[in-house]
Amino acid sequence: MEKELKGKVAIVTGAGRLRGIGRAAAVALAKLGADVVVTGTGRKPENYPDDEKAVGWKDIESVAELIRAEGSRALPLVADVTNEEHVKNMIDQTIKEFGRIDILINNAAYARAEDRVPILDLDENVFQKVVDIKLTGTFLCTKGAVEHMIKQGDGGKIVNISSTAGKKGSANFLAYNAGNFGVVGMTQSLARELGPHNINVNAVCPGAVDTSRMDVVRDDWDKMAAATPIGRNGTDEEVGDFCAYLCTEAASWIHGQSINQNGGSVMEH
Amino acid sequence: MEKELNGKVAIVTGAGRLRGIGRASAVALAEMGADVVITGTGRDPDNYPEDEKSIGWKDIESTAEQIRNKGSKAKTIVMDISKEEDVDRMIQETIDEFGRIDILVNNAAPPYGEDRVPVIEVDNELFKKVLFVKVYGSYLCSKAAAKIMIDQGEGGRIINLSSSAGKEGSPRMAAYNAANFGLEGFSQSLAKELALDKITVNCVCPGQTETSRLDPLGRGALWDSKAEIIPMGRVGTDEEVADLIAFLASDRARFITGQAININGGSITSR
Repeated sequence: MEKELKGKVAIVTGAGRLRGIGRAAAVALAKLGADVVVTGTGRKPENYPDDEKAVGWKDIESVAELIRAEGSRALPLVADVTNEEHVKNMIDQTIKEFGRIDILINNAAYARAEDRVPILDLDENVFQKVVDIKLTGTFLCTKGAVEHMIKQGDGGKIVNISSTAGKKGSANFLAYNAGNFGVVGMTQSLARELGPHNINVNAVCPGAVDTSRMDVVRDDWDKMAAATPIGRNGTDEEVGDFCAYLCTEAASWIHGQSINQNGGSVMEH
Repeated sequence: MEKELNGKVAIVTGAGRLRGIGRASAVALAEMGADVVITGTGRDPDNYPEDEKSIGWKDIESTAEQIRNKGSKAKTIVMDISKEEDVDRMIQETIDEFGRIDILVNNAAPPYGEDRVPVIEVDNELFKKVLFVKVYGSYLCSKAAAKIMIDQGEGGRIINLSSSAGKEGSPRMAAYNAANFGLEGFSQSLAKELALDKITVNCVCPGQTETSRLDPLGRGALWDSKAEIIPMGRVGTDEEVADLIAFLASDRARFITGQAININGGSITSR
């Protein structure tokens, strides 16, 4: 049977972690047949978490291997999504290598930690960084990809990774709330603008998910799980599968939505 | 390859129309391997739409054939989901036939029609009926199915068909808005309550969908004017809604619960 996304080309930003939504989404898309470009920031290997070191993980290069193991083509690229030149290069390389762009998963985000402090302690540069990667990054990547999607004339799929923090404000979450609410707003605006081009734009809003991004909150991990109605946190595969589902033809009438995937922890909006 | 829902048993209420979300959902679940019980109200064939008459459509019996064509088992039940004894019978017959219940799709709704009038003209009995089928009916079916799912101890899926009308009020839709908003509140409560039993509860909220339920709107200027204001520029299909329902029924969606997901081409995005 022909795979559902055969012939499609996807870009997933922020896909270098072993335990991460970016990797899981990239592999899920490859499983459905898409060729996938994965980006990372070129993390220093000495800063990799222990489990990555133990298996000899090589960031986006390793994710590219996982994609190829599914029978798809892969292109790993180091890119800062807030840098116009880098994004232009990412788009150009994608076109050069694969000839088209059908799917964009805006997943890149600033590392969690120093932004989760009271407003009086929040460093301006950190605030800026969090919001910049989430919003300017999503803007630049989307702009670059949409230009090709419109030219191609075959529609497209954009999935933005927001968060429960894009639905509900929390103390000491100022920058992250701002960034993720912003992503939801951009998703709604872009959906109305790009609908006539058959480009679907949606956001996924995961709750606490077991990724290395969350390693800084392991002390509270069980408490977070217990506070979730289903009594556990999510997995990167669960979110990756949902992202991939939203990129299928069958999901074409789901548009402009920011969908919670959180075990019931947040039900608003 | 093993199908995703092999060995699972689903119930889809209100699945007798040729063009309908119930039929499409039942078939989508069967395509993924589930055996499916489908219910209908025993519509009078004289009242079938022309396209059903012309192909000799036989309500839920025809849906059952489509399910069997996918290689799954099907069972048809004529019933009123707002009657306790009917719901008890449906559950009993499902267990007798298939031995278990894993998925419940609460899709049945009273026909679109005379409730869409100014509130001062709404017939009181009709208002009650819309709420009765949509909310009380979903309650009865969910309650009975949840009991079985909890006893089985392997989790489950309850998917309630709400609507854009469950997200935003419109004039002349008092009953339908009340029912769909109510259903979403009911779903949130149930989601929190059943979460630890690994039973997820979600609503699907379709916008304008090409089904015979919406035939009273006609397919002329009014229909087109409603479609044009949808950002995707078109109405949805029953298969598209069904595909989302089937996804929510799958193991892949086990971390999604308590949500009311819009599928509407972008017509409503704010909730």
